[in-house]
Amino acid sequence: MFGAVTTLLASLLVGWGLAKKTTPFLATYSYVNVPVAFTGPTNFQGFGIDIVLRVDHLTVVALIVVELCIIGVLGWHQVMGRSEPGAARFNALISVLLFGSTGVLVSWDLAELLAFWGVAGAATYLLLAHRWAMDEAALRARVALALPFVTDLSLLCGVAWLYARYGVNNLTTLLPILHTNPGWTVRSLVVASVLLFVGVAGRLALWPLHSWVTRTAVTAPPAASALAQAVWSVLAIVVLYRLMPIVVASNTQTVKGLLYACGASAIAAPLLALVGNEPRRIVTLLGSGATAIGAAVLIHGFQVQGATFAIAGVACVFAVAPARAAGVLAISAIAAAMRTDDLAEMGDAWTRMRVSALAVLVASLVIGLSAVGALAFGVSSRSNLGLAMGEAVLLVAIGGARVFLAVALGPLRRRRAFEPDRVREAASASLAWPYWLVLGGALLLVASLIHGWLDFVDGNKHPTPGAGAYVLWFVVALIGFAIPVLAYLRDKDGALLVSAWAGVWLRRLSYTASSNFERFIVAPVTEIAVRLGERWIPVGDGGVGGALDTTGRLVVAGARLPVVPLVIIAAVILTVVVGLVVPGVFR
Amino acid sequence: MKNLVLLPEALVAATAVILLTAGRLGWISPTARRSLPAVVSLLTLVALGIELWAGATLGSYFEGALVQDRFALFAKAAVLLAATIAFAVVDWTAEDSLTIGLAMPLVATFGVMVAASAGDLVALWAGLELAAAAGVVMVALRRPDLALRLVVTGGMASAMLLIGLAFLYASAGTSSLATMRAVLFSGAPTLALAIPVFFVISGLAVRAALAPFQLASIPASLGASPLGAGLVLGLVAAAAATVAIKLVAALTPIPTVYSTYLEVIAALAMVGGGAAALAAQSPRARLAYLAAGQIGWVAAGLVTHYRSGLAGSLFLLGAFAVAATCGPAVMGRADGGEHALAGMGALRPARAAGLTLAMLSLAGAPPLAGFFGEFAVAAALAQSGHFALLALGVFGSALSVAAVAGTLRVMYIQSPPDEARRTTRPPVLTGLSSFGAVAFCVVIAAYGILSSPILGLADQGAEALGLR
Amino acid sequence: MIWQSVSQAVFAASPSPTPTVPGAGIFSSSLLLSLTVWVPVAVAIAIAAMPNPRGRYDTLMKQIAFFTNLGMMFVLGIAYNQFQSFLPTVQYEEKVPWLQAVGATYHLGVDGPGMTMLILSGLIGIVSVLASLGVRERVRSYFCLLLLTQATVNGAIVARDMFVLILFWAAAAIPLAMLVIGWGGPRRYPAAWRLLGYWGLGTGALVVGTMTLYAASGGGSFDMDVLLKASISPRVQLAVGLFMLVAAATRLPLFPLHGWARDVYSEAPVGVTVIVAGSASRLGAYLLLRTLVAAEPSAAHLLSPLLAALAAVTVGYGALVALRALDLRQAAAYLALIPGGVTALALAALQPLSIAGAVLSLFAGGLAAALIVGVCATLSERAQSRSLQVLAGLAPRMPIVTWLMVIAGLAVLGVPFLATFDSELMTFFGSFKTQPIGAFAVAAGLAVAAVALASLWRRVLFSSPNPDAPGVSDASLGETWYLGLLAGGLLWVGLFPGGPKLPGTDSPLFDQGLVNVMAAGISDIASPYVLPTPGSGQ
Repeated sequence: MFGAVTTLLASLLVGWGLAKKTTPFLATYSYVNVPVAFTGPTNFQGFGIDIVLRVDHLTVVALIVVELCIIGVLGWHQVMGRSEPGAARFNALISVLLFGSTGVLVSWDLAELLAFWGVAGAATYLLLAHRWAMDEAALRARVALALPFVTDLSLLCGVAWLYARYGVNNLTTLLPILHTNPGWTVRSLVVASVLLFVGVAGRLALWPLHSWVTRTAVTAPPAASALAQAVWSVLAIVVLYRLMPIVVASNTQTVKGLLYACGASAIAAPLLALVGNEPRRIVTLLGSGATAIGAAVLIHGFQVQGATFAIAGVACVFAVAPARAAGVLAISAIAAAMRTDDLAEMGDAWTRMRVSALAVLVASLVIGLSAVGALAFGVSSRSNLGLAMGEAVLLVAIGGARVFLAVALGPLRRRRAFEPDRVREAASASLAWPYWLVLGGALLLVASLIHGWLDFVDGNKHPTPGAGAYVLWFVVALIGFAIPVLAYLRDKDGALLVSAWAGVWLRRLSYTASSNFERFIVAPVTEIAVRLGERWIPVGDGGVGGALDTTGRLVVAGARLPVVPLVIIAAVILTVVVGLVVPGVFR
Repeated sequence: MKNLVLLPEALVAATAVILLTAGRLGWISPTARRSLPAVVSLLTLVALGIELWAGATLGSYFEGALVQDRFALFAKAAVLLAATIAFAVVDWTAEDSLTIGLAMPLVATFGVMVAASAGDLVALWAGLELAAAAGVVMVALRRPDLALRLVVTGGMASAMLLIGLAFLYASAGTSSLATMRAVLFSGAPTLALAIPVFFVISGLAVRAALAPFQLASIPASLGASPLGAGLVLGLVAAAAATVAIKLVAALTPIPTVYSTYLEVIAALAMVGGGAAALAAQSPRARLAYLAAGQIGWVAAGLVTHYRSGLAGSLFLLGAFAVAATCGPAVMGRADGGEHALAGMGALRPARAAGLTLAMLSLAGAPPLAGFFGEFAVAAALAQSGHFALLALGVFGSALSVAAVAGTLRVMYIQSPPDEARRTTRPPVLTGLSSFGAVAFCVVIAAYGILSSPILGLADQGAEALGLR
Repeated sequence: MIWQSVSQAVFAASPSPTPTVPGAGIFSSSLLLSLTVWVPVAVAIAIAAMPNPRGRYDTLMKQIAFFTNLGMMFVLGIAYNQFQSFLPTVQYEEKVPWLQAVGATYHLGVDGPGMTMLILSGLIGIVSVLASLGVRERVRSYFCLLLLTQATVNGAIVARDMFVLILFWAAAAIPLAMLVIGWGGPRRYPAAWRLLGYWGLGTGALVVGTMTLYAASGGGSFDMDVLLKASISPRVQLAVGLFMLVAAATRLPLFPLHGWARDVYSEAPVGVTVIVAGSASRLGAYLLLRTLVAAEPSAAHLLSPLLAALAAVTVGYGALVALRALDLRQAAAYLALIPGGVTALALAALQPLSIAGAVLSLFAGGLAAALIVGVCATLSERAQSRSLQVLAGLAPRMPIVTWLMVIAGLAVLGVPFLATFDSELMTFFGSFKTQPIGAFAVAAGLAVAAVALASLWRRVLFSSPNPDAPGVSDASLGETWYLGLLAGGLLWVGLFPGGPKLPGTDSPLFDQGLVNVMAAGISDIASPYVLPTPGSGQ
């Protein structure tokens, strides 16, 4: 906590120092510099990793958002996470995550970026796997290592692919030579762009790369889950914003493809949130959907020539991050009090846990409305993208309202070993933290509607969108909030039943798909590898050994045979055979 | 000084005759018997000293029947060294007769010395037969049946040798090796010349226990006393190898008549020896097959028919003679199979170390004498383009090294059995035997360190045979 | 005569270059490399000759072995500190005529890669002794054989003559096999025979390849300066390259010649496992670097796709089998194949940067492999079981081992701030130019390895404890030290690959940086592979 606060103060100080400046702060330190060749192109004669610290307004804002999230979550955890084992380990890992996150945000050298990215990723996995000696937590934490590692490798491969052609890691040097370096081809830029995007999308937890946050949402400590969602969304969107010039330099089809991917993700994630009744998973998916909208706006902003609204997508994600953290924390408190993770079994939080329920409501509102500014700035409601984004906003809002209504209203039924009357509000010391977080989110949401904020963040001038645009997207969100209200007022149980039924079917579907994948792809491949290692190769070399042993035994057994005839026969045979085959002897 | 060159031979032969006579007539008192091995060992050491000091003088004796050159110096020094250490290290309680046990190796040593300095075919044959006869006597002391088998196969080998040598004499018109070589320069490789050469090589292969002709010698060595085994495996094989080197040197003008045959035999010996060593159960048999594998390397060196190859063979022969002659002596009794050596590393550390080095050296494991010799031969094989033979040799050596690991496990990892369950007594611990074991270790280890001058001398030896 | 030539050669041997870095002039000997080879041999012989009635001096022997390694590491540290970075020539050179008739010399020397390997070997030496402190039976023989093994590894590293290289390369198998047979687990015999078989095959290939090179270069010398610089036809280069590839693949090991690794890594005693995985097996890649990459560019170009394929299959195969393994030590054995695969990819790429990555990967991969097999062996000893059906939920009861196992896994994956990250970064950055498919395949294999590690940690560390499992205890002080040293080495080089510097300055404080030491000589090795224009690999 102390570290986070200190870093926040330092960030504020830096922000204050940079507030009036338009040029970023840039400092470079040589970290590694190895000469590897005497000849050839100069940029390939040596390999260097510089610690390039570049701090601009965007960096400062992102840092502050990350630190606010960490402080808020830590504050909540110190009260609600008292029973979690390994407090020192948890706090140490949070510090590592903060260190890695700061490094990612200030890095301007791609190798340096990879290093801090990896450190933050390792810390995130260990946070999500923090609950030792729990089968379910351990089982689900596997994906928190494997899936992000795959996407991190994709980022590494993308950076390596670029380095192999350009021989530089520093973005300041790299961006101007994307089209002038002798080694470049459009194909190479397309490959690099896709690899970089997959790397970032994994950490943004965009659908279908979201399962590392959804599967751990229930089993990891709530603070860890909230941080993984909030911090990584900020880091990844900032990195995507910085790498977009590389993507744009490839070709329009690639950019369009990535935009479609974000659009699909923005719709799919909140759609999945409507299916199933685990509230923390729902909030996670809603956050993922909102983040995908921000990413789509960002890419669209780079796609449109001369447009400057890409930063609005970043601002949208800035607003979502604290709100989704707050939502996760508040829902966790309610789930802990009601001892269930099924919306169908929850209820009556408005009377029994009003403060937490209100936090859920506000968080849902902020998440639902977070995209309004970004869309108003950059997306025309008449375009296909506008339609898709509108649908996404609608779904996010529906999901948000659904969670609140399911938790807050309706009866809280008695279950085995559960007495509803014992449900009490969470410890008072913890109640304020989600509010602080959601307040931060709300402020960032409001800021994202103001062009001056965007001007400050990216240093460009942004045209103010018409009031109609704001109203339009606001109304879309409101409609989204209204739909579940009507549904729940009519029949809460029916609505939840439908989601539960759909959730069960989705689970079955995904189980069938994964089991088939396991059965027809993973199992045969691993079986072949195992048989190779455990049977075939040992049998093979054992056979060779056996053959040699048999040969040896034959030679040894020869000693027991009648010697004289054998020696004579051997001598004669060898004499005749060799005599006949030796060139120049027989003839 | 010139006549001093023959002093080692005289000393060795005289000692052997005296020992036989004194032993037969019972002139040796029990006190003298105790110190006899040390005395004989000292005598052979003196002979070695004289050989090294006076042997550098070149000369020809008995009208060219014996020739003292660098080759003779090298070969004689090697066998004298082998005999000296063998006498020192052997466990005499495991031998059948002290005097004969001392005399026969001396006779064999004398035989090798005669063969090494032979100037014509007769001396070559005589030297070899003398060494082989000594081997038969040593085997007969314990296993007359095996001795008989050895006599029969030996006789057959002698017959093949004599036929071959007679044909060679007839073809070349001379029995002098130097003259024969000069004559053959103008000759051509014909079947008439090749077949006798094949017979000679077959005969030598039987004596040297080269596969597939190891069938007689190795079983005989397994039944003999430790020193007898060392004599059959080491000194007799060294005698055969010495004869082979001298003959091959004389036949180098027409290499095609022997190189392919030798190639086949060498390949069979190197691979077969390694494989058999891997499969052998008793340590004595393993040692014997390791020796058979290494003598295959000696033969491989002759295939090259170049000076470097023959020098390599001679260099390896020195290492082989010491390791193969002393190996069984260091091992002592091993009738109980591998278990006889169980825990030897703890019970008799010096002997265990000696046996370890002997086996590893015969297997060609670095950094011991055998490795350096085999490496020199391998380099010669590469220079002459015999890569297939080289690959087979390396393969055989790898098998041999793997085989040695089995015996090392028994000696060092396996615990010694209780006195009650012990089938074979460990070798008696005497000051001389311990000294001999340590000396043997030093020789086997130092052979590599001093390999530069030793190989230089072997190279001069090959040069002395007329190779350029 | 021989002593004269030795003394002449010793005086003629090139002294240590004038050092310019901190620690300069503390120690300077023309026999420095000989010390690293022969001191362990001498100490082994001394231990063997020491009387030790009823194991009375077992502890003393352990101390002797430990302090011998510590002293060697001290000498190596000074040598490392005095090493002239960015100097392409061989340093600490010794040259004495040996088998003159065949052209073999006792020629030792190290360049950047050699020094890197030597430091690795020194560190692994200390670690292996610390890991062996628990040995109770036949202590004398154990430490003799361990010291002999270290000597052979050091000898193979510093050899500048192929004869010397073959000598030490071949000599390593016997003591290792004896260590496995004498102190190994229940399946020690097959493990030892496989080790002898595969390494014997590799030695055979090395000898035949060397002899082919020797014959092709005129048969005058085995000195690497002559042999590896001789201009020979591409066909002969290819033959030599294939032999060297087989030799390296049996030692590193690479699929499909890895048959010994599973048994040896899982059956050998911990100290032996560490030394095999850490330094002895790295000699395979070191051999490829010396005899293929640095010597036969034509053959290297022809064989690089094959090598890349072997690297990819090795990484993927190791990860897949580890995913399904039911034995902790066997899982670790398969995971330990992965760093070798990455090194092989780096060598296959034949790019200056990837070659540098390969050298760094020798060091980092050695430590990572040693750490993963070491920590799993220690864990299975402490938990009295190696079955993954028994071991479960050990993290709360073994926090030290848990953290070290996590670090080991992350090191295998190449997580930042561990040395493996730097080496993987250089490897991938260099490989995507010439071997993109191989690089992608290796990356995919690493992804599978992540899944395997996640499953392993889940089962062994983080799941709920198994009530039927035998009692466990956390790592002892010695075990913590040896594992900590490995992890510390990975962290140190990962954090300060270029040595610790004050911000804004370029001069190292006390460690000139492994990558700087490593770089000496790489430019020479890499010069034939510099592409005329960037991207021409595509």
